[in-house]
Order: sequence, then C-alpha cells, then structure tokens
Amino acid sequence: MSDWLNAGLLVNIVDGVAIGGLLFLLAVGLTMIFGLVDMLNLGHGALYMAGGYGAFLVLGSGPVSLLSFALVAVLVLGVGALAGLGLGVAVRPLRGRGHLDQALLTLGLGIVVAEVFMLLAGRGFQSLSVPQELGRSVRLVGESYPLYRLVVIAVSAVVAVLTYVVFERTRAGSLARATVDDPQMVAAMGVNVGRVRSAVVVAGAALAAFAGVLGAPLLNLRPGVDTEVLVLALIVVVIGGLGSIKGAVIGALLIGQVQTLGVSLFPGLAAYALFGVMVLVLLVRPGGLYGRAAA
Amino acid sequence: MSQHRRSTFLLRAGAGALALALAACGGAAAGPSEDSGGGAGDSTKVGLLIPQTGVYSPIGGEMQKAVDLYMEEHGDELGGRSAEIVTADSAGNPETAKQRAKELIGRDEVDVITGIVSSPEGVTLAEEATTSQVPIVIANAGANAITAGEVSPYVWRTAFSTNQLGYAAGVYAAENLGKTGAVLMGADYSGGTEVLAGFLAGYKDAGGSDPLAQIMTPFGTTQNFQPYLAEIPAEASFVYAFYAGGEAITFVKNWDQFGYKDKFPLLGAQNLTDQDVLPAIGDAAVDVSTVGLYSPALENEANADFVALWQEKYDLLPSIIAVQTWDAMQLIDQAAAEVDGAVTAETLAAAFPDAGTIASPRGDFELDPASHNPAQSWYVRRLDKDGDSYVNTVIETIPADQVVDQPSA
Repeated sequence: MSDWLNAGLLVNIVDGVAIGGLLFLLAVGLTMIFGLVDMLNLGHGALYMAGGYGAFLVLGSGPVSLLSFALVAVLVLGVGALAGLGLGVAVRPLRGRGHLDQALLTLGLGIVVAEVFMLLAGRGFQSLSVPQELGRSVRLVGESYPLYRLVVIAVSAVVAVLTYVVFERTRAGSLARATVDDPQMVAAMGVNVGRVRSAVVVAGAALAAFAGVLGAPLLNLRPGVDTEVLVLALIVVVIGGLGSIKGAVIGALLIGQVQTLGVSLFPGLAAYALFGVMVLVLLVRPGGLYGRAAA
Repeated sequence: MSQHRRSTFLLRAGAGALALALAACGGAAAGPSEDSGGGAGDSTKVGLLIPQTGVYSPIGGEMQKAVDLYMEEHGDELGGRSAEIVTADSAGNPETAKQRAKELIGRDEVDVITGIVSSPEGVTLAEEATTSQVPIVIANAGANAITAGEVSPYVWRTAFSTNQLGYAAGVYAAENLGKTGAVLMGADYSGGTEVLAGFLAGYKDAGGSDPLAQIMTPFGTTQNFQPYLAEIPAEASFVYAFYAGGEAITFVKNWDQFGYKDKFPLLGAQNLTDQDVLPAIGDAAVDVSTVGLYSPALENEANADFVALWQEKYDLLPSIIAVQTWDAMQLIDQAAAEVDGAVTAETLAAAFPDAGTIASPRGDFELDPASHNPAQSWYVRRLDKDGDSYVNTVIETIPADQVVDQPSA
C-alpha cells in the first residue's frame, strides 16, 4: 500500500461517504423536482431545517433512544410529505411564468418557515443527540469512528436504491419521466400529469425533511443552516445533472470526498475546492455529469 | 425541453448557489430600527446595535437579554437620569451596521451606541464613532485594530482584545501543557488568525518554542472537522483551538466522536464551551479546558448577585456575552453619573475616562487608559458535569499583569 493511503485517509474516505450520503438525501429531491417538475425549489434548505427543528421540538437535545429517534424521523418524513403537497399547490399558479418567479416564491416561503422555527425553538444553537444505542464509536482500520455515521451511510444507501428502483424500474417512475418528455402524450393516456408532478414534489420534500432529522446530530441546528445546506445541495445538483438519481449519487459522493479527502490531501485549497469542482464540471460538461440532455 | 434551456438552467442554479453562499457570508438586509419617542433633554439615550437576523442573531439575542435585565434592575435609569434604549438590527454586516448607526445618531439622536458583535462591524463603527463624535461601547467585537495605536476617545470596549484572549491561554499552556509540541487550530478569518497569533506570543514569551503545526479551517463552511483533526501530528503534546458558535459545537463533538479526547489534551478559547453552545454540545464537552474572561462559577459578590438575577429571569446561566454586555451598561451608567448637566454624546464621551472601577461579575476591573480595553484577569476553566447541568469550573487564574493587550509591532 502506498504511503499516502494510510489509515487516517481511509477514515477520511469513509467519512466522505457519510457526508455524501446526507447530501444525497437532500439533493435527490431537489434534482427530481428540478428535473422532472421543472420547478426551482429554493425552499429545499428550509425543509431540511424544518425537519431538524421539528424533531428537536419533539425530542429536545437530551438523550434519546433509537426507537423514539426513528419514530420521529418517520413522523417528520410524513409531515415533510404534507409540506411538499402544500408547496406543489402554492407553486401551481406560477407554472409557465419562469424559474425566477418560482425561485422567489419558494425562497420566500423558506424564509418564513425558517423564521417560524426560530420563534418556536429560539435563535440559539441547538442539536439533536445521537440515539443512545448508536452513541459509541467503533474501530475502523484501527481508528475510532462514530457508529452513527455508518448508520447514515446505510440509511442513505437504502434510500438511493429505493429511489432508483422506483424511478427507473416501475411504471410510476416511467410516468414521472414521461411527463417531462411529453406531457401531452402522458395526459392523452389518461394519466393526471398534475398528480404525477405533485407526487415528485411530495417525495422530494419528505426526503429533505427526513435528511434534516438525520443530519441534525452532525451539522447542528442554528440560524442560517437552511442556506448552508441549500448551497451544498445545489452544487450537487449542478454537478450531477438535472433529474438524474445517478447524478445525485455521484455528485453527493464527489462533494463528500472533496470536503474530507480533498481537505486532507490539499488543505490549502479547502476554501475553494467546492466551487472549483463545480466550475470544472460546468466547463467540461455544462449539463452536469449525468444531465439527461447533456449527452 | 431544449438542450440550451437545460444548460442555462444549470448555469443559473450554479450562479444561484454562489450568490446564496455570498449572501450567507454577508448576512441579510435588515429592517428599520425601532421608533423612538422623546428628544434631547436630561435623559440618557442608548443605541443598542445588534444582529437580530442572520448567523450572529443568537449573540444579538443574548445582548438584548442583558440590556433588558439591566434596565429592569435599574428602574430604566442610567447615571441617575431616565434612560431609553433604541434597538437596531445590524444583521452582523458592517455596511448595514454603519447605516443603522447613522440612523441611530442622526434620527434617534442617541448619546452612545453599544452592542456590536462582529469584528468587521467593530472596525467600521469605530471609524463612524470618531467621525460623528458619538461614543461606542463595544460589548463583543474583539479585533485588535479597533483599539490599536492611539485609540479614539470615542471608542471603548468592555469585552477584550483578541490578543488578550490568545495571549493568556499561551502563558498557561507553556507553563502547564509543555513548552514544545504545540498544535494550533482555528477558523481561517481575521478573528481566528489574531487569537492564534496572540496565543503564540504568550506561549513564546512564557518560554514555549515554535508550534509543531498550525491548522486553519475554512471559516463558516466547515461542517466536518474530521479531516483537519487527522492532520494533527502524532507527536503533538497538546492542541489549542479557537472556534465559536456553530463551529465550536461541531468541533468539540468531532473531537469526542473521533477519539481525540484520549489522544491529546485540548485547550480552547472561551467560545469553545461557552453557555450558548453547551446545550448543543452536551457530554462531548466534559473535561474540555478553555481560557476565558468569565465563568458563572466564579466566586465573588458581584457574580453571585448577577447569576442569581439572571437565573431568576431567564432560568439559565449567564454567558460571557451577557457579562460583557452587562458591563457595557455599567460603564455607560457610571460614566453618565459623572456628567454634570445634560448627557450628550460629547459630555458622555468626556466622562468615560472617569467611570472608575467596574464591579463586574468577572471580577473588578478598570479600563486601561492606553487601550480602552478591560485590564482583566483570565481564567482557566474545565467543563464539569453537575447532575444534568454543565459548569465551567475555574482551575487557575492568569492575572491581568501577565497578559499583553496588543501585539508588538
């Protein structure tokens, strides 16, 4: 094994996958809503934040059991879905008015939601505890590594496989993709195009809120966290390409590695690496790595 | 959908991401300051300039609480005269802060401005104070430059200079953690650089040698410190770290989760385990040592009274920010008491040098006539868990005369 590939760097790589997994949960909804519904949802970060703060309001910052943590995560998934339903309705009148109008509306709704949670939970710094059963660290290639992050990797991998199967291998998924390419034809087949679009927004919003719960023990809860994660998710979408699940996976993993392995190998470039990678991808493949129209 | 449209779409999204990132750094635009009644006359009018929105809003909120409590305790009087507080939102952004300061001075006719969280705001407002000849009392912003050289008669500070903050920790580290093998970590912005430089000056003046490594992490965008922790050389004898707010939470948690508690002693600047971040950090902070200007566990009369008052009103322990703001109000109160006749910006500014000793919860101090900063002791605090609550137990005091206020040129 070469000298640079030591145990510390292997931990970096694993950690990059964990961060990437979390980013995937956030970005997959953004890219699907973007790519399949043609809707620019800048409220996506606020959905994440709402998920995290919602769980915090229920659980508090004290010790929690895995069972209650999981129950709340599922609850938040459901509430996120409802929020997605509302978001779809709110944006519907703006269809055909361009992305700027949608961006303004969703960004504005996001700010309102974020401020409401600031009022409910206070403006201070908060966090969710890692569930007690997962609170310990395990040995990983001889180094200490938090078990919770391995669970984040596992959960996001499961979600990635599920979304891929649903969108690429089922009739519902084909319909969702077909509504982009030829909405008239899909409508002519007797399918309610509006309902398919709503379903995509609902799923995306639910996953963003879910990511908020999963991410809260890692990234903490504070004013401004919505914008921070939205920027990361947008970068993932730009790199991966619109509407591509594969793109979201690769983009998220890439950004995860840039933030961990990249930092270790090129510490001096850490501040510029994120946008540097994005600019590089845009130069080489303006449609993103897996953009549906890029090829 | 056309290929062209998709590409521009992505480009826009990319530009949007950049713009949002920049906006997040700068803070959002602020609303107008609150209305005020009354005019000049024999009353004291204080402008409270704090971030009420944006990432610094938790600190602004803590300052507001301290001012509210002070006014309540003193029957809305300062210097024996009726007093009024006019609050304005700086959004943590120097440009907005300057605009709000101009409004406070021009429209609201305040006699003094306090609050002031971030160093860029502090630098801008120090210039504004000097130009408009209205004094400011800085309750947090620590940049050395604000009080460096010949300090303006309109600029006073009840917090600290970043050099003090780092220097005191450097002296303690050299005497207790080893004169070799230091590793310094901090957020890569002016605040982080200055604190670490102050640490190094104190460390070397107390006999320490050059550090093994200095690891700077991108400011405000680091969500994960694990790759930076991995850079700490195995032969390090201790790590000194400066992080505040959200970064402090993530740093201390990562330090614990990745097993560094068992590898190296950690010494932090006060922000690492201050009251604002403790609930979010939880048990990971236990046993972490920090050097700060205050702990709620300090034993003196002023602190006993202050902690009791604070707990009664807010059911929490007061933070360092709370004490700094409380003392800013004490300073304004005492200076106003020295004024004969009407309190104006001019008479108040002239009275600050005569304000005398501040009976602070951190221990009595006077403002250094040369730097206008507190000539204050620093405390080494170890975080202990007491039942369900956390307390920064004071384990050592670094007296004021061992701490240098400004970096040597």
